[in-house]
Amino acid sequence: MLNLIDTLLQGVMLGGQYALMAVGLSLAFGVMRLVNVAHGDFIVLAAYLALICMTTLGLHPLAALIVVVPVMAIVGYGVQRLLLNRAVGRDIMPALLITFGLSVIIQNGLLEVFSADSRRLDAGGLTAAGLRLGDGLAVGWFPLITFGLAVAVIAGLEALFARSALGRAFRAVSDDQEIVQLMGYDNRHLYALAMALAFAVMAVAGVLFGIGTVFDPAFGPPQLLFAFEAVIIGGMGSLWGTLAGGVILGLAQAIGFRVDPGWGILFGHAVFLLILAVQPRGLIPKTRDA
Amino acid sequence: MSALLETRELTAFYGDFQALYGIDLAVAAGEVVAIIGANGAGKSTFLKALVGLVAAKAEAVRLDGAAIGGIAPHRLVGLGLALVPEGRRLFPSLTVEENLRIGTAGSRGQWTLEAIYDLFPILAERRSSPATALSGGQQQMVAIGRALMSNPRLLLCDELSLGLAPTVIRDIYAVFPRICKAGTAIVVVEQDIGQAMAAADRLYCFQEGRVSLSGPAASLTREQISTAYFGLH
Repeated sequence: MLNLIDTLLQGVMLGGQYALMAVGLSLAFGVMRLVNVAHGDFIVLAAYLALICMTTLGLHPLAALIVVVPVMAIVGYGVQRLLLNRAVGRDIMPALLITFGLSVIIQNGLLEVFSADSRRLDAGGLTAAGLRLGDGLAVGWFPLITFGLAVAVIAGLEALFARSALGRAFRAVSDDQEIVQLMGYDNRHLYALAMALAFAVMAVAGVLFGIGTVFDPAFGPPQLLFAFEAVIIGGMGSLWGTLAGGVILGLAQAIGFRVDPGWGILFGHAVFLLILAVQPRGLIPKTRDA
Repeated sequence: MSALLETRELTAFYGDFQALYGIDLAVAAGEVVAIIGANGAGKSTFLKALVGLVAAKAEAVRLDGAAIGGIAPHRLVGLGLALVPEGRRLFPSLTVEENLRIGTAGSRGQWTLEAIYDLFPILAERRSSPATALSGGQQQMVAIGRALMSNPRLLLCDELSLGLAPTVIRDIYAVFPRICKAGTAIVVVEQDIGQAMAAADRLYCFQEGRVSLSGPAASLTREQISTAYFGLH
């Protein structure tokens, strides 16, 4: 019984990490209707940026967020404004190709600069400390922080989208990028701002990922896959759905690992396929089209 | 007549296809001008060229004497141009009130949320509904309200009556005098000639990208209009 509770708890915590990684992808799809194939590679890039901050400035990885988040947001703004805005439109293919190219460039660039050695962002005692919940049951502080951050980020973004003028403009540009210009908004600027926001969240995800796991330059694509699965399970464009999707994926993997240590990832993919077959639009689809 | 808006030799293209062949048109403050013409005559293209959605030469469009042709659409609303687009094009993800608020574009003037609700009381009742859950006529009211929220000097309306019942159309045109009272000019593109003649001070008829007839609505005869409309002789 205790084993089961422990498994479920670990699964939910893992889900928080997946959700945090998936938010940027969900955001970019929700506003721009574009799929960023380099999503995972930018997350890994953020982890390496934090590594640079740690070695040159001597910062704790969580303190490195102060530098990494704004830098990634600026990168996101630039990528959208200079590259992806040229590809936004009815056809999703050009954006896929551009971001695929970015993915190759980032992986090889990181390989060139940092070599293929595995790295980890050393957070001192943070990753070892845990919270005792009872006899034989404990949860690490670090997964708890990650999960809490995922919920906080999603709640914050949902509030931004629902209540602020900028959020209203994001929803409007997603609906009709031509008419929103007649409301005085430059659609290219709005898209770039949305991507900057997505990259800021990816920076947080990347740093936490680097603290929790060892990584190397080839770690991007698997993260894209998990993020993609979380988004699809939850329903395209819905951020709470993305959290639900991440948790379901985490639970499936945790249960799989418990059944057989080699089956965790497989269980995750199987649940993803199952949900795709039964509920192709995801659990909480957000219908934005009239 | 000192024109609020004036176009001179305005041309417009879709790729190699020329849609407008030199349109000369003028609108004075507080005036209602109707543009009529058959499908494909270039009426909607003309409005799109005014708001920058179709490329135009700078000198071809003047607002208060300043050349504004080809300016990016998001800058035009600040100059006092607002469009009620064909098919309304409300934002489905936004409520009625959000659709109105997004039209503000930082402007101040008589057209506030309260003033729009006073103009169209039904919208106040439906303020929290998704905009596209409303009836066609109510959606058209939201589209007009959204455009008015920017306190435009020139309101451009594209096919207001499209797909609406005659009584609803009459209700919508009935608010025109209240809009014009404060000096706002209206250009309305209209398929319904009778409605256009009733609502407008002056009329322009387009035919194949050219102005085939223009004059005060009251002075034009049905024969003149049908000749200009269909090109019959």
